[in-house]
Amino acid sequence: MRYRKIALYSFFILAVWGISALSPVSALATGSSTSGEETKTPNASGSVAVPATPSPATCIDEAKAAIENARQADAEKSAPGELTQARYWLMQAEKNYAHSRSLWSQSLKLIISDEAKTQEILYLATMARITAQTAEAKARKALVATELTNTAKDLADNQAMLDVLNKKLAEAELAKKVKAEAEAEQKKLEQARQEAAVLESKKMKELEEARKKAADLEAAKQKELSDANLKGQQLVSEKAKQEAELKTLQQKLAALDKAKAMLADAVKIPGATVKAVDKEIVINISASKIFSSKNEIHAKGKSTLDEVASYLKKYPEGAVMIRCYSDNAGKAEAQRLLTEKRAVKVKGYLVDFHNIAPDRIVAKGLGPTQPIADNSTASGRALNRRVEIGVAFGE
Amino acid sequence: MYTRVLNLFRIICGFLVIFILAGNAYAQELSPAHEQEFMDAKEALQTAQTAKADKYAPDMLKEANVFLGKAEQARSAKDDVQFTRSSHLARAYAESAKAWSELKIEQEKLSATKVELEKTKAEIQRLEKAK
Repeated sequence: MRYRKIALYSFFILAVWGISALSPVSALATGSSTSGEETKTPNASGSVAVPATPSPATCIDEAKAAIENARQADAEKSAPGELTQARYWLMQAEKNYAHSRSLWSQSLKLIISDEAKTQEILYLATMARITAQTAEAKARKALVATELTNTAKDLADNQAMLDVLNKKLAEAELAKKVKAEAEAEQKKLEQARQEAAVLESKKMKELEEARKKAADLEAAKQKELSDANLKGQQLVSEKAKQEAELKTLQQKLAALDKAKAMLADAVKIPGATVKAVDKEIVINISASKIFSSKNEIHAKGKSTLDEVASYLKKYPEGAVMIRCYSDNAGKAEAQRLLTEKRAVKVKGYLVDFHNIAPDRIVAKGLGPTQPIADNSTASGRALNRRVEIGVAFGE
Repeated sequence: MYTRVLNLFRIICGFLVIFILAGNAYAQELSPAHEQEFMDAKEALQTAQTAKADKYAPDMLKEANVFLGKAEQARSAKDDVQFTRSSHLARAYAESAKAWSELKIEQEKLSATKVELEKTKAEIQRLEKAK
């Protein structure tokens, strides 16, 4: 009977132990494992590594791995508090796990379930793992932050360099543009200079042509002026000449009028023949009408000479030339002397008796020269014996 | 011998019954310190969400939420040990999620900065060649 009770109790205990062993013991530690999900452990890239069936040993190993990862991520420096805390959790978990693995605990497990102990280990290990992961994340963040700072600094430096380059490039572009504009301006200037040179040349040419034209015009003008002057002079000269001629003609006309008048008056002298010769009125009087056979002036002759004297007084300007001629009978020299005496006598009569200025009268005896008729006849010789009184009527 | 073992077993069972009853009686009310740990866990969870952990560390954030739910369940059950451990784990997961989220954000910033740096370097090289 006692053995039966012992067997019954033993069976009951074993049943309880077996049921408790079959029940999920890591529900607390794994959290979502009750819903069939797996425990997830972020790795360095944030993805999750999953243990299949969590057990205290597995959880402890995961925690160790997480702590190692954190250590490798330099969490001792960047997140020492979290790492220390994780290590503490892990140490506690390992301690509990070691205790649970002791002979006493193993023995006790045969009697009662160590569910609470297991849950505590899982809790401690999980806390160690998560804290280590947090430490790893913080450490990695510190590293990334450092790298980010350096990268940002590099970026700032490069952007500054880029700004400088852009500025230089912009300046270069501007300089290029300015250079191009300057070259264009230079080209325009050169073109303008060339155009100016062409214009200057054209202008100079036009100026030269204008000067030449002006010179030609001036020359033509001078020539015209000279011609005009010459023509004027010629006209003046011609006019003077014409005037002179006119004057001469007038003088001649006056002389002719005078000669005409003198001739008309001379014609009135009795016994005289009158003619106008050259510039004098020649009053030709036969010698016999003045001189007697004794070669003296007879009364009739004096009367004729008186008429002549009156005539000379009427025209006192003209010089008087008394020329006495003879025929060719006898010696020429004797005839000349005879005619000279006759001329002097005529002059003497005119000067003495009619007060004619002696310097006005020239008396010449020309003998038989210049006969006016044939000396072979008596009538001819009578005509050649003559007294010519020339009265100038010209100048 | 059998009697002694049986008595020892009875004593142990008696103690167990006493411990269980005493534990239940002791767990009737949760202390303010435990509540504070729960509040800290919730605050850590909100901080993690603010740090965009739902985008960069969604699994950890989910774990934190799960443990926060367990803590609330433990509170209902007046299980202070479970309540405390769940609160601790929720907070730890939330803080880890925040840390990983911040790391991811920093890594993104770093990647973006590196990309920008490479672009800048490439631009510099291009300008140097153009120069």
